[in-house]
Amino acid sequence: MTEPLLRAQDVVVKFKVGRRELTAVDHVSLDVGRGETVGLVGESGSGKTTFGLAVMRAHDLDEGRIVFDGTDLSGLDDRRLRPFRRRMQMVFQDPFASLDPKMKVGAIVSEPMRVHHTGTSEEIQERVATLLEAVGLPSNSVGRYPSQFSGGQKQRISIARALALDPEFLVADEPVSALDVSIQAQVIAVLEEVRQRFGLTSLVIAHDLALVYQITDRIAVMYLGQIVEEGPTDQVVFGPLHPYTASLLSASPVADPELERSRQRIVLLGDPPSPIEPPAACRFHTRCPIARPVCSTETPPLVEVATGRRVACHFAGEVGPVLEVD
Amino acid sequence: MKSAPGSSSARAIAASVLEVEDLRVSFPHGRADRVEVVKGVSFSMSRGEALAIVGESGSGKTMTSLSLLGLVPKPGDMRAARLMVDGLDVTALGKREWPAVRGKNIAMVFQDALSGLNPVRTIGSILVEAIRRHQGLSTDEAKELAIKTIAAVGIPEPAARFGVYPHQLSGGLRQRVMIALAIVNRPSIVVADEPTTALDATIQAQILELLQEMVTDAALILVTHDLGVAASICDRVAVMYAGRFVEVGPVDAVLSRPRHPYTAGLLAAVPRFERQRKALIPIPGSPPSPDDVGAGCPFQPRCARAQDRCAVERPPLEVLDGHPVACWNPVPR
Repeated sequence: MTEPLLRAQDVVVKFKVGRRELTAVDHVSLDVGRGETVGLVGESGSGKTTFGLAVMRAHDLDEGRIVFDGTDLSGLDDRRLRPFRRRMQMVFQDPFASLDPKMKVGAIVSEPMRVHHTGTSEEIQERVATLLEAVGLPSNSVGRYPSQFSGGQKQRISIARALALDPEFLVADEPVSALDVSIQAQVIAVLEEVRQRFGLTSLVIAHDLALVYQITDRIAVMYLGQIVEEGPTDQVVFGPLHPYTASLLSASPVADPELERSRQRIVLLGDPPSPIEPPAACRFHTRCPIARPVCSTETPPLVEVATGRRVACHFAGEVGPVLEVD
Repeated sequence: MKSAPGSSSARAIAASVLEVEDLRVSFPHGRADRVEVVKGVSFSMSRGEALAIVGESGSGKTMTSLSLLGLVPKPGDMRAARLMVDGLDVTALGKREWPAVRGKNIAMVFQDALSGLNPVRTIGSILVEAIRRHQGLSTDEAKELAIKTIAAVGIPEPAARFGVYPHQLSGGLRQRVMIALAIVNRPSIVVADEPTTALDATIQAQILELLQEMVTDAALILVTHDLGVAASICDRVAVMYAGRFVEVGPVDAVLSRPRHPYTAGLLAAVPRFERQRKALIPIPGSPPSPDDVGAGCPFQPRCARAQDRCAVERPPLEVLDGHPVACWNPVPR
């Protein structure tokens, strides 16, 4: 098998919270193969966004390595990281906050090219026109300001900017969750289209399992800083092995009355524990519907149960599937 | 409020606990103009019924729900041909009369419990005050009922939690307090506006289940942008677009066999867990702004089924073999 484009190995990211320490990402390893779209799913506090930032080297790692196209980025300083930054780009959740309101769209989309000196001003102009067309914005958008665009259009502008330097790898963090339902599908379609057209490899970070099911090849599920399950999208969704994945599948609202009635309901008790003081051993044991004594004393390792299929649970496969409607 | 003319007899006769007829909400726009954000909404509800009002931002769903409690913010103006809440005519109710109705006959659960609860009061004192305002109980009796209600909404250690402030609770627990506050005086109608939007999926499931459990006797109105949330606990759904209901009917009928092209479009645009993944079909364009008052159907510019008539004449909400739909060229069954 060829080497993955991105390989995250044993990544640890910690934050100081007052005098205490919060381990936001706790020994996470994840590969993203060339041309693949991997979904990273979890709730708030799961560490999924911090992991995305660590992958982009927008956040320092306390431990572990980020290997991109065979090069370990972990030890590189800013100057040596620069050529790699061009090849990795990110799209954020909030298009309102991530675009400078005082810059015109043409300047916003061309800025990365101007900073990286990627061509003459004619070449840059031409590239901007191509990108705007690719994301479905009219060519006269260049002379307008972000405030003149709707939320969905702003996210298209963010995508065009992310593609300016012709990256190979795109991290999209909740790319549609700030948008209205009828607009979300438009932006998803744009992401799908540019992914194919520009041959992108991508990591999609989202809380919405149905969205991730729609657009990914593989899924990794995070809970309190750790990956608890990973596998091909179909297998994770229709045959979850970890009780947390099963409960997420049971909890994600679906506009399908028949499925609502037929699927297994697992309502978890209580709130997710604080990531500052995660439960001992299996972190999910305090809310798990099938927890037994061993779960609070022994940490279940993340084991590969089949090629590309990993799960961290002493009783993997005991809950689920939850979605069988046939 | 008990002395409102004819209220008790009206309540005894009417099966409906809520009657809304031609509800309109407008805001000043420019110098002399007003722009309507709710453009004539009518519906009624009985006890035990759960209705979802589904729409996107700007559809008027939140203003519709606020109207029912006299909470339309200034300088907004609400008027209706008829607005009966729990048998009381509230169409012309003044600012000083609303507090006797709100919380007693009709109560609300807001999206953001942190802004819905007074931050400098303990949850116990918030509940006790609400109880004492509407029920003739002593402080001790009110306290007892408050703790009982805190326990009923699934908050662990209710007696200890009586003395905590809203910010000391997690988002999920705060939303439970909001629900406790909404049900403690046994209102006939509970309105929940995006009650789970700010919450994580596993907590959302808890809160929806709790709403369903706690609001059994009253009528429940769930305002949401999420068709999935609507499907999970409601019997009826009203789809709102540009200030009007465009399709109203049983959840099963509307979500499984939508007739309005907007409803069908929304359903085709949201991801779902189907064995064979199908590409999502986006709805082109974006909703009209409220001051865009064309003569035709407001969805017409985005509609794949639009005909000539749709641009010039607005379709009324009419029953089409089964449930009301506002469309000249509905999706065939």
